[in-house]
Amino acid sequence: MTPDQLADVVGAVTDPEIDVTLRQLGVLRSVSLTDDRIQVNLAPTRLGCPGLGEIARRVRSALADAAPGQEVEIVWERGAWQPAAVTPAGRDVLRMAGYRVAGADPRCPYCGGEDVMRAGRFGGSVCKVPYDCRACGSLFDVIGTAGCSAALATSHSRQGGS
Amino acid sequence: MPHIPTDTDVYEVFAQHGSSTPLNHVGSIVSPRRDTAWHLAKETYGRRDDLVTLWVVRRDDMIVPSAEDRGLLAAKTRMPHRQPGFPTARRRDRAAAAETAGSASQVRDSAPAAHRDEAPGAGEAGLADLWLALADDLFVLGNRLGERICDYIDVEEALAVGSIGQEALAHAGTILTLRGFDQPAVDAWFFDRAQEQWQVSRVIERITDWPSTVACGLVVAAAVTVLAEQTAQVETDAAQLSAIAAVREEQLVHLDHWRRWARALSDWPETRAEFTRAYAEVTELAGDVFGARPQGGPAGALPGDPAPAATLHERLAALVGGGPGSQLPEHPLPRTAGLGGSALAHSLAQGRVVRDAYAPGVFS
Repeated sequence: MTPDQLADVVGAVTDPEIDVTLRQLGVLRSVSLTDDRIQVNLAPTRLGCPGLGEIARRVRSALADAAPGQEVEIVWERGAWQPAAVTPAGRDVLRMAGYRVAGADPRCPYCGGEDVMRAGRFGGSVCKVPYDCRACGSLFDVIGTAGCSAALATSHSRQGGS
Repeated sequence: MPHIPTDTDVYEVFAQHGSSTPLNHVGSIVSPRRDTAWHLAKETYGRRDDLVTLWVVRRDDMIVPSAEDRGLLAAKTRMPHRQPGFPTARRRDRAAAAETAGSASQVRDSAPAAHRDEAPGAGEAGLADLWLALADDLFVLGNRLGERICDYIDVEEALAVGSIGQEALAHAGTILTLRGFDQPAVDAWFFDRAQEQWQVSRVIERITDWPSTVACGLVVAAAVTVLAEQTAQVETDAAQLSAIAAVREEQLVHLDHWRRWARALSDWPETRAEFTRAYAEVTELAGDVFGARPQGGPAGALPGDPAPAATLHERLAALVGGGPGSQLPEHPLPRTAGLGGSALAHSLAQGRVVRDAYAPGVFS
């Protein structure tokens, strides 16, 4: 298989927590092939992500099916992930699942309203920051604040939470 | 015993006006006959509005509390987050509070010390030793915070402490990875070293009660951000730089959280004295945060080039010296191996318990 085909295999692996693929989430950085060894470069959304082991296991499992017998090396590029790496398709998938991606002013994924307020700095996962929509009352999470201080500062003057 | 009313002609009426609203009690009626009660209720309560559903129940058939049952209805839990309306009510309260608080709560917000010019590359080897020592501190801090996540009656605080602890552990591992450790080596470093070989700061022994833990968390987060900023100036490798930048970004959030706690604990009259005492004691011990001795070097010695330690210490003082009654020493002090007290001993023992419970080979 060519590196591009292998990248498609890895890119179709889904995240353990949200039903979004690694390519859509921007976690897949590159796949290279040397002789019998496949090197997969991945970027964790947050250094403390507890899903890294499971993601690596899924990638190895997918590659074992697609290219049996080939050695796989997974390289984590720490700090390389940026919210901008999420693809447009990934943004749509995340929005449908009730998430927004950090970067611009966050909008409610349910009603599209812009009157939202941060409801604390720490969400149910280290990659999420909880927000409230004051237009429709929905609670939603914004994904990805590591290396994105602009997103943290957005509604600084009216943040809630601790 | 619940009081059972005796008037058999009274019916209670429950109506639902829209599919998105709940069934509500709307009133009572008196009907001499059971088979006309529903129609009477519909005429009384449903004439002007569309109803989704209408329930009519004879009061005689209902089990209701009597006056002396009030105690039975009182909340059985002191944990507000266990109550169904908690998230909504809490967030509404906070939304209102944030609007009225204005900028008053923004004082002394995280403003990292300004960068100073350094001789390029100065003391780079020394920085690596400082990182390794801070990884020890982060590991113990992360473990101790992890033990606390079920202690809070405040769900947001449990999330915060859990996240900070989880990230402290991840940062400890990241520091070792950047130094070239692979995963088994990271595990061996944290789980197979005897306590005497650890080089934690003296503050680690104080991760006990909450005020001291807040002070320790603040000192460690400040130290990591200061060291990350210094490293960013002398490091040239792009992969190392982006990882260090991520550590700094994440620790800045932790620093901000601890500062809010420090502010709150020193503002509340009930906690002011205790926190001021804890902060003074912890900062007095924090003089050795940048006092790591070089790996393999003589015990008690400062890093080969003391200049970066002094500069870093100065920046640390700018971040933590303004707290209530800070006793941070003027100059950096050397670290001593074998400290850490019960905080380190407990973390190591718990780590062994967890690892021993896994099947052989999980931790190679």
